[in-house]
Parts: sequence; structure tokens; C-alpha cells
Amino acid sequence: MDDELLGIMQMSDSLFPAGTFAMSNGIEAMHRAGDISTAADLEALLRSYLAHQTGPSDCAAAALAHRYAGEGNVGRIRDLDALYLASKSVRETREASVRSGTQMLKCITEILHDDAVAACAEEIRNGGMSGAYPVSFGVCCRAMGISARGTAMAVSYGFVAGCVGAALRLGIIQHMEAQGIIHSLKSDMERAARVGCDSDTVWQFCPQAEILQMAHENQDSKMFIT
Amino acid sequence: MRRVPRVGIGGPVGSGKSMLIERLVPELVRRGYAAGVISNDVISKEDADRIRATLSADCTVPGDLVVGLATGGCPHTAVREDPSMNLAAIEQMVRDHPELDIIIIESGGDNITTTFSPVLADYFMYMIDVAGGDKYPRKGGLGIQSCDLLVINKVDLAEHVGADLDVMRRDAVRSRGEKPFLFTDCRSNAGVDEVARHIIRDLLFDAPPGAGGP
Repeated sequence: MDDELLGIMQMSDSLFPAGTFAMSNGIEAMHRAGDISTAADLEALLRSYLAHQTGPSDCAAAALAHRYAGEGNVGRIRDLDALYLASKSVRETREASVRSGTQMLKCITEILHDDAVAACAEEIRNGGMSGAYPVSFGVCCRAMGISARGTAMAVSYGFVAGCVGAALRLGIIQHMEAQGIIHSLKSDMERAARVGCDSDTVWQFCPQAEILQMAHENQDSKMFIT
Repeated sequence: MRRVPRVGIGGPVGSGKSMLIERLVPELVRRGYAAGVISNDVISKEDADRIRATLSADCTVPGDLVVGLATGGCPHTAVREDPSMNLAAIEQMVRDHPELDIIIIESGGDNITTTFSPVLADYFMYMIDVAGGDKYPRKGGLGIQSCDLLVINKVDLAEHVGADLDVMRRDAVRSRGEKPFLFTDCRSNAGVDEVARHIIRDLLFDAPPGAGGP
């Protein structure tokens, strides 16, 4: 049985109960601002996100957490968690990330035992760390027998699938276009995962998206958390 | 952490879920029970804001005990397949208010298949209204058939929309067997005390306020 492949499928499936279905990663805000109205707009945005945020920040955080979990170094996971959240300037993004990350750790704790997962859950209970989503994801993927590369790939695919799903629900694109975008972004997803796996730290640069998401926080009528 | 008993209220948009909560919570508070509310909404925090304004205006509950969750257009997902957001909100609410006796979780969404995960809600109410047509109980569906209490609201409108309450009563019995259902007119508070009695008896097992303790 290919445990790693099945593990990647399980962890990157939208069925996994981590609440990510309620996030649009700024797509809703940008659509309302008139910055995204076609499949081409969305594809260009996601390509930019993969290069400037998903790869160097989310994939990197997951791959580094995977590595530190393998070393049994909870202290470095804690520092990584703090650094990742410090780099996210949008409050709702930070809160949603922590909510999803902690729920993911709880779910994995229910289905298997792993020392690093248990140690992170304990750190969260004691207030030592928050449990940001990609950090928790990296620790959990390692516990599921997934390699660092597979972990980073699952992060980049999950991000694109989540954004495309949000755009579909917002009516920006149609179902066939959704699959076309995912297909055409495969090399970008792979590049983002590679960037993440080669990183020793996390960084991102997407100020326009963050400013729009800050405005989204205060909107009365919205479908998505972020 | 202590598990505070939880009621899930689901049903179509416009059936009166938010107004039921606005009437039900004061009824529970009047009997001494401390209640919190989580409202899952399709497109906004409109319902949560309205419930908060109504309930905090007369100091029935503090404002932070009414939480709104934006669910990415999938409120039924947030209470069934992936209740993680709601569970996290409940954990926070109980941490901040260990005195709570009951938490009410509302889920919007025009979907007769809406049900609550038992991990999320211990008692499930489904709400419809007569303006949806007197065929509604006959149509069945997971929500109508499986809920612990079916509430048929807006009975005051029945004569204006041509809905026959006897037909709804007959079909509710056919769909649900011995499981209870109630007619309400939440706007005038009719039947709300009966809803509260069902919850106190069937969810709280007649435990007095504060029985779970902080």
C-alpha cells in the first residue's frame, strides 16, 4: 500500500475537517474591489500568490515544521509558529490559520499517536504556541508518513484548490474553468513546493492582497472569513 | 473542559430561526439558565448582529455571548461535515464563560437535508414555516424526519397563505412518528415557552440552572 500517496490525498482533501472551506484567501475582497472578474484574472493572481506567499511562507513553514518534528525539536517548531504568524498582518488570516491548525492537530491526535503531534498539542494547551495551520500541517503530515516534499505539495495544491473553490462559489468562474486553472497551475504549485522545501525561513510579499483583506475584515456582508 | 449542552437549530432561510432564538433565550434566562449563541450565516453576520443587539439591549446576555461565523457559503458543511469552526468557537465561549448552562447553534441555509453533527449538537431542532406551504412536513427530508423537535412557525400567517394546519399536523405525525413537533408564532411569543420546556426536559433533563457548574 502506498501510505504516503494515500496520506497526501487524505490531508489535502477538502473533506479533512479543518474549516478551510470558509476561507477565500482574499479572493472575495478582490472580487468586490473589481480586481478579479475572470478566470484569467484568477489564474494570474494565484500564480502570484504561489510565488510570493504560498511557496516562501506556507510551503516553507510546513516543510520546516516537518523537519523540526523529525528532529524532535519542539522549541524550533514553537519559534517557527511565532515567526509565521508575525509575518501575517491580517488579523482574520491569523485567527483562521490558528483555528484550522489546532483543529487539525486535534483530529490527527484522535486517529494516531505521534510524539511531535502530542508535544505541539501540549504546547498549545499551555499557551506556548498558537498552532498556525501550515506549521500544524507539517507536523501532522510527518506523523502520517508523508515526506517533506509531499507535505509542501499538499500545501500548494490545497491552497489552489481552496481558492478555486471559493471563486466558484462566488460566481467568478464556472466548474470547467476551475479544473482548467488547477491544471495550468501545476508547474507553479510544484515550484512553490520546491521553494518551500529549500527554505530555511519564512517570508512573503503580497501587500495589495493584505490591504484588501484588512478591508474585508470590516465588511458587514461577506461569505468567507478571509 | 466541561461539555456545555448544545442545541442546534437548522432550517430554511426566513423560517424564523433568529427570532426564535431572540424569544427563546430570554425565556431560558427568566428560568435562571445562562445561554450563549453561535450563528452560522450564509453571507454575513447579519443574524448574529441582530440577535446580539436584541439580547444585549435588555441585558439578557452579554454581547460576547453571541458569535457570528461566516461559513464560505456552506453553513450546512459547518454544522455537519466539518464542524471544526463551530467547535473552536464553543471552546472559546466556554473558556470565557464557564457559567454557561446551554449553547444554541443556529445554521442558516435553505436546505432540507441540513442536520447537525452529534459531535457539535446534543439536541437538534428543525424549523419550517407555514408560508413555505403546508406540503413541507409531507416532503420529509433528513432535517424534518431526524430532528429531536420540529418547529412549525408563523402559524398566524396560515390563513393568509392558504396553509392548512391540520394537514401539516397530520403529515408531521406521518413523517416523524412519535417524535415531537410544535406550532409557534415567534413574533407574538406563542409556543416559545413550550419550546423552552422541551429543551429543559429533553436536553437538560430538568437539571436546575448552574447544575453543570463552572
